[in-house]
Amino acid sequence: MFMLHEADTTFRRLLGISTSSSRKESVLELKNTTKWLSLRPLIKSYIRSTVFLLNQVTDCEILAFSICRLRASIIFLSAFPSLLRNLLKISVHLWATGVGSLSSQAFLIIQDIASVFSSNWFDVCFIKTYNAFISHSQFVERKFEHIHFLRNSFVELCCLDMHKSSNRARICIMHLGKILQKGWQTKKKRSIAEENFLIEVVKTICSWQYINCIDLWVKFISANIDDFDLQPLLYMIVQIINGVALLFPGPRYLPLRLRCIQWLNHLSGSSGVFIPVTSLVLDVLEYKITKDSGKHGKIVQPMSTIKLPKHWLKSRDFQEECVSSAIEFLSEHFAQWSYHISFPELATAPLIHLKKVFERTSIESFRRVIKRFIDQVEMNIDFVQKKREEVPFSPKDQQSVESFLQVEKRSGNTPFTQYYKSIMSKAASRKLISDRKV
Amino acid sequence: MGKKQKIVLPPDLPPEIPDDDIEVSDDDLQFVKENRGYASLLSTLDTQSITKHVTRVADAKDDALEKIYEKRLQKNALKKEKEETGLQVDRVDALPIKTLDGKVYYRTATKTVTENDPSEEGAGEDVDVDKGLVKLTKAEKRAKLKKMKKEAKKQGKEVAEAEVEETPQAAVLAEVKEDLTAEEAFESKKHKLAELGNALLTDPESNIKFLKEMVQISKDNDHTIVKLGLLSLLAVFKDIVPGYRIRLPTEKELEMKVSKTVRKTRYYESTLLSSYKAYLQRLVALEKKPLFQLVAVRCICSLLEANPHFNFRESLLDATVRNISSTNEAIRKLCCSTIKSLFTNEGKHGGEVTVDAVRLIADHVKAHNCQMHPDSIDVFLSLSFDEDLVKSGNIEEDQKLKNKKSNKRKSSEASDQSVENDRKKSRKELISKTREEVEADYKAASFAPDVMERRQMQTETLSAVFETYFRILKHTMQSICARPEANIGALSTPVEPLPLLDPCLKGLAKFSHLIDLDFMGDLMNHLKVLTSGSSNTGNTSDKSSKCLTVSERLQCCLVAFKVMRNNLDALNVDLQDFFLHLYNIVLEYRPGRDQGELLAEAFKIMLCDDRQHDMQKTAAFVKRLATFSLCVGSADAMAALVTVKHLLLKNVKCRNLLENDIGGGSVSGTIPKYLPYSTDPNLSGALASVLWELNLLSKHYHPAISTLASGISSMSTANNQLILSKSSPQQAFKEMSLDQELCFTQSSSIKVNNKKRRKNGSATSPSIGSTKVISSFDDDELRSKLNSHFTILQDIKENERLRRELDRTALSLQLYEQYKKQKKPSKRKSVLPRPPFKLRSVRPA
Repeated sequence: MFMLHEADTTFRRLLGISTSSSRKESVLELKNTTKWLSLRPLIKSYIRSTVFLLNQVTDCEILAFSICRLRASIIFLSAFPSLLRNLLKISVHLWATGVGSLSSQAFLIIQDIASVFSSNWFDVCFIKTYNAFISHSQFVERKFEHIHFLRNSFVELCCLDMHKSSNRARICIMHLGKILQKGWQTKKKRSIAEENFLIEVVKTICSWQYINCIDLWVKFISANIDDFDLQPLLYMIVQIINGVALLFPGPRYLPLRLRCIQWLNHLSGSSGVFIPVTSLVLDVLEYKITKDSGKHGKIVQPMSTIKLPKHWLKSRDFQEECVSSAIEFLSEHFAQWSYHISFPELATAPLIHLKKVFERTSIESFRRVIKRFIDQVEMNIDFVQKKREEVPFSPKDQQSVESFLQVEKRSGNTPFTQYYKSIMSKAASRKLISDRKV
Repeated sequence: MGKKQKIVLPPDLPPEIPDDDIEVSDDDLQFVKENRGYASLLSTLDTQSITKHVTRVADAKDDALEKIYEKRLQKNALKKEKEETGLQVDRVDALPIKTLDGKVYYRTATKTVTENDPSEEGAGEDVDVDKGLVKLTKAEKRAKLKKMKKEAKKQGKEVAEAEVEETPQAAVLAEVKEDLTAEEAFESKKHKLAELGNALLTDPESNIKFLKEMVQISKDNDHTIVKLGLLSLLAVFKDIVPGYRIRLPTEKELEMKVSKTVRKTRYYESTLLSSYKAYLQRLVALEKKPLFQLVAVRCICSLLEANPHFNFRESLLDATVRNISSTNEAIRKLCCSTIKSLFTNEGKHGGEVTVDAVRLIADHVKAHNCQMHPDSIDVFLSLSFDEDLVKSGNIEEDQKLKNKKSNKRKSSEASDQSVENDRKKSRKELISKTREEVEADYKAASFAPDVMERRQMQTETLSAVFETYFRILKHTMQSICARPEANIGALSTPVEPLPLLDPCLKGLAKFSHLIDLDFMGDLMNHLKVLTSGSSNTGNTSDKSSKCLTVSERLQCCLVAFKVMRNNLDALNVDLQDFFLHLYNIVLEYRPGRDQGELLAEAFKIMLCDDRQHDMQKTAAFVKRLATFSLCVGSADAMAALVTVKHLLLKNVKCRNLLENDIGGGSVSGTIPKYLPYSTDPNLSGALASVLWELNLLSKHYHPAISTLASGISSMSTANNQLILSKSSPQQAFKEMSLDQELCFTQSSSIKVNNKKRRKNGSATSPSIGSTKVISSFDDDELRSKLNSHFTILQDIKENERLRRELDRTALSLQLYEQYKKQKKPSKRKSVLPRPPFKLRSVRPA
């Protein structure tokens, strides 16, 4: 206990390194001094025994604490690469399997290793964590928070070295693309012999592993696209997402599709690039026009599954979910471009379609939601159109188009923005409720 | 006699493997060569006995027959040796045939000109035999016979060895199988089939009577045997059916006196025909049983494909067409491909079968009320109509069929085909000289039918085809009218109720140049209704749009335009309606659900290729397409944008859409304001709008689209001399949709990650993790936990230490005991040391 507490500071004092500095150069410089030589076995045994302790103990708190202490003295590890490797292995394991603070502590170790030591170590970290992530996203059905945490922390890790990680990301995304390509090809051929293979491929794509990978990279790109030029990556991932969304038609795969739309919106929002999602959203709306059987099944949480069991399809909840999420996504999409000069055109086709849907549905609650949306969009159309008629420039004048309505956007209190905010808050509360029910 | 027979019997030749026949004969040849002395004797003995034997046992048991066959082969071999000069192996084309039971038949055609009939030849030889026979005494005979036996045995062994070497596995397998009697019976039947088939292939003319037997076998109880029998019969028939149609002699002809050979041929033909008939009957009967269906259909199909000219083709065709929309995919595919090959290789049967097949299919469609699998109509697409024929017909008698604009591609296709046919034929000629005459007949049959006749047939075919198509269209119309009442509340997944519409429309598009002018008006009207998707019947019913899918409606538009184009506007049909529909269909299009290729094609044909655009409409389409491309995936958007570009390039005035000059345009239409929700392109007032969409599109994630969009937006009214872009919307669509799958491989090598602005290298991570870094640990708790952990550790250590001690003491005690025992011999047996109970109790829980 005491050892763990005080070892780091003691060593530092002995070696004359300031407690705050964490540069490995200082350690390397010290390597030749006599002081180092005398202390070396001591430090080594300390670190080794701590790593050993990590291997032995199962209690979370002890693990977290000892990892925390180890992290403090991580600079010494640069002198012992084999120990460092051991430590990395353990911490990746703990990161992936642990809970709460332990996991985060372990991740901090990984992050430190990746950032403090040379780039080779970054590669090792990257590969190990990615593998761990993939293997864990495979069977974790309920632990979404943990997966989210893993994803976020991995993205953070990637941010440490954008150059390398984006190259790696490209490779990984290409791999995903290849799998998808196989799926498409087999789907097109449609022969009996390929049927089994198709099922296999579909299984691969329609698995949490695949979904989580896409999720991971979406997150990665959207986190970094502001600062770096990730255009090619963005393009690739968007194509993949579109492919996934179109590969699985049919209402049972609606959650997957909703997820795809979410990704696309996310990407588009963070990158400021136009990614059309309307047709996908309208597809979702198409399905729900079924007659409602009025059965109240279990509470469905569409984001938590990929494929729905059949009996949910007819349930009222599911349809409600569809309508509301479709409206949410559509309004998210529109909200992003609500100040753009071509908003009226963007909204034309969906509006026509929505009006048809509105006529068709008989359920009052759906009608109300859709009606409200239509009204809001039309208001915004009028608003933009009015503004547009006053401008003197033409479409080819890109710069002035860019500046169009920027003032209003900054102030952000047009009716549509407010509507969007209300929709989002409603969605959040709805989700909370459903979460609580689950 | 008995002795002789023994000699002649090949004692231990395994008869299973047909290869042996060849080997035996070779061996014999060699043997006889070596012992020239015996040659004459052997041959004489041999022939004599065999001739007798054959005459005696002509209709004996099966096994005997087999032996006879063996003997005959042997004899043939001997004869070969004897008349080396006269030997003729005439068919070198004999490739081995592998039947389903895994056996390889070699066509060892030993048919020579003279020795066709064994009895004849035997009789001829008898004379020689008599001369030679007298000289031999009995003793000499016996000695020679013994030698013969030895030789024969030796040979047999050799052969057996060779065989074992060749297929040791097969031999072992065979041995195992022999244990089981049932298996044995099966095997023997199999072998018999093989033998018979081989015999037939070897010498069809003399062995023709085996056919009946084979047919008999195929009526066995064993399923496998039946299947095998059917298949081997198929192989046989495929090979021996002549290239002409057999006409059975009339009564009168039968009465007439004919020469021997003619009689023989007649016998041959009639046997062949009757067994063929029996076989077909059997097939047709079996085809109805689910167990044999596949096999039977396969036989039927391949027979039809191989001999479409032969007798009884009607029943074959009938059976094929009956199965053309079978639910079993394999059967359906077989039938369809057979029919297709019939259509494409018309030369084989002179087109008659085509007419029949088309007729039958038409009837079939009628009978099933258009509820069939689409494949069954798809076969029409492989029909090819000879343009020249139709043309000449036009000149002669003012035929109804019209083709001013001859489709070049198709005619070249046809010629290609005929060339191919020719080549095939020439090869055949080279191969089989004996068939030359037949070949000539064949040629005459396939090429001779005069033009009139062929035209007649073609007209018939065409009328049948179009009859079918129109029937389908009408049926669709009816069902559309009837549907709204039928299913209230169109379901989310519309079951495809009109399976035939799609291939029907395809076919109409393909043969649009051949459509009768009289039908044209009707056709257009139908199409118009179909395209509108019955929305004209009343917009109140909201399921109307569900009646036909968007793809089908698009296809209707396409067909209409193709028909019009191919007939060079000979008709005065207003196509405006179709534009109107396209204008609205575009909005209903969904990328995943509908066929993007069709949409792109529609863009190409209806918009890009159209010559007479009025400005209002063009502007409306430009606007609509630009809007459309905002909502759909990259491929469709690309197709739409390419079309937009095309239209803008062609219509200078429409480029006003690119300029934002309100009201000031020289071409302000009658409608001052743009009405995006209008359903009529002419009334939308699109000229008053501005293409703002391009700005958003230039932010598109897909680089190609964004560049294209900015390219379009920078087009100006000023410079007219823009190069017309070559790419069509179809092409663009294809590229982009392929892109979707292949882009990843392309971009693999490039892509250097250039950073715009590198942020501070040590990007401090403000994440969940870092917030918890400093989260103080509860010291006391930790301490206690660690304490407990270490105490446990200590305990464990202690435990280990104690155990070690225990072990050590136990060991020492043991040693001590041993030591004591060793000392014992001198002393008396002392008290044994007690087991260390106490120590054991130390052990912690």
